[in-house]
Amino acid sequence: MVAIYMKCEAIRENISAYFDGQLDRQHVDAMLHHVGACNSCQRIFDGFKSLQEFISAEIHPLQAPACVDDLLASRIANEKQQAVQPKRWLSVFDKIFDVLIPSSKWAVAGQLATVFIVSLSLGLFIARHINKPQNPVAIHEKGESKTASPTVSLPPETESRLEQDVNDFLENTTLVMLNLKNTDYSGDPRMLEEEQKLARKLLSESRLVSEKVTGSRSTYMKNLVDEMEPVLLEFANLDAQRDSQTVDVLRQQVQKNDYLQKVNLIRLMSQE
Amino acid sequence: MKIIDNEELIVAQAIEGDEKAFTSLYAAYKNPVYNFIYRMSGNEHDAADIVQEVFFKVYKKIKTLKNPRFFSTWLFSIAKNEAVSQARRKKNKTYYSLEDDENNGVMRQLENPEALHPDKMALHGELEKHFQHILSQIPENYRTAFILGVLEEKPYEQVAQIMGCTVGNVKSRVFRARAHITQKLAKLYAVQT
Repeated sequence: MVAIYMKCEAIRENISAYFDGQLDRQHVDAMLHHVGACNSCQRIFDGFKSLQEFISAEIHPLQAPACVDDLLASRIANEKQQAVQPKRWLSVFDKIFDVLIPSSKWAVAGQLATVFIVSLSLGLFIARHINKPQNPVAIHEKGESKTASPTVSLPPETESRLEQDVNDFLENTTLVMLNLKNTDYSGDPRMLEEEQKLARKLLSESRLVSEKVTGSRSTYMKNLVDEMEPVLLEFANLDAQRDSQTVDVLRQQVQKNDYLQKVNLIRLMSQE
Repeated sequence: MKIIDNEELIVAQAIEGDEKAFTSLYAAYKNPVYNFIYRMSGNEHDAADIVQEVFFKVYKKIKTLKNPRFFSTWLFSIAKNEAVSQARRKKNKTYYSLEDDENNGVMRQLENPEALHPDKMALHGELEKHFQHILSQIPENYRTAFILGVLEEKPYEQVAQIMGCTVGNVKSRVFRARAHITQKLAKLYAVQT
């Protein structure tokens, strides 16, 4: 018989599956045959059998408490209520178009047209007035050296001020990343709020600061800002009570991408 | 594994937005889901909280379920994710509150198995507590496979779908969990002869 030569480990998994009714007839026969001839597997079989009897006798299914029904009913009722209330910005548009154009069909078209025009104007304004920095990662990949900031000689006091800004930025980044890595925000919403404020500050400063960095640190700094921006943005807007999975994902990203190490590297470069 | 008659039909109605159908599904599944989460967490309060969160998610997302046949698998996947998520929120603390054990003397008893007498334990309803304590010591993946495969008696194939792994993995995890629990219980109550 082949079964007798089967490794005990495989047989033991089959013994376990047998007690769950997950073993087909052929394997049951082979397993029982092996157990009959192997003392060690026989003991495992007996142990699992005792456990099964113990579970049947002592471990009884529980009833969900009535409070679950109440909690769920109340949440669903809230959800329905929120779904019925129109969104605030939509109701403002409705009021405007109710006055200007009485037909609701035209009001919707009008709303869409307004959104389109406002977006277009905003886009044009941004394109004209804001000199968007180029993506240092993309340029770096092409092997070009366009990312380096233009070298402008600044008076010494201005240079030390810039250096201070960069150092502050790096220090705050370390703080946020460290806390994000190690803190359980679900129990302390105030702490999360503080951290989110700091993250927003970093977001608002990141581009400006990275533009200020010159020399060999420049590319590293810009790459770091590019990498961290989505993480900071997500962190700044999350609700840790509800988005625990997002916190976990962000935490993993911080660990995986070694942001702390990258920040330290840039700080070390500034000391050289 | 279906636990109510015409389950696929009822699920299909719930997907269409029929609230009565959703209520039927909730009534049929709330206890199995509660049991699963309670065994994962070892804490009744947490379990109640997670169960309502799970069914609230089901209520909101059931329209995204494409095949009514997989409702049970889908539901338990949500339950598993919520339970794991809750465990991570609690971070290094295991689901089972060790502080509670300190208070009621379970830890002291576990350290001194000779002081345990099954009859006395049964009288005080402690057997179940000891079982839950041992369960809480098992790594999350093994615990999930054991609870679903052994306590909830789900087919390994469904457990594999819920856990996102192969049937072979489930079989192996259930075996390891079972071996661990048997060994621990044997020490405590001489389950193994």
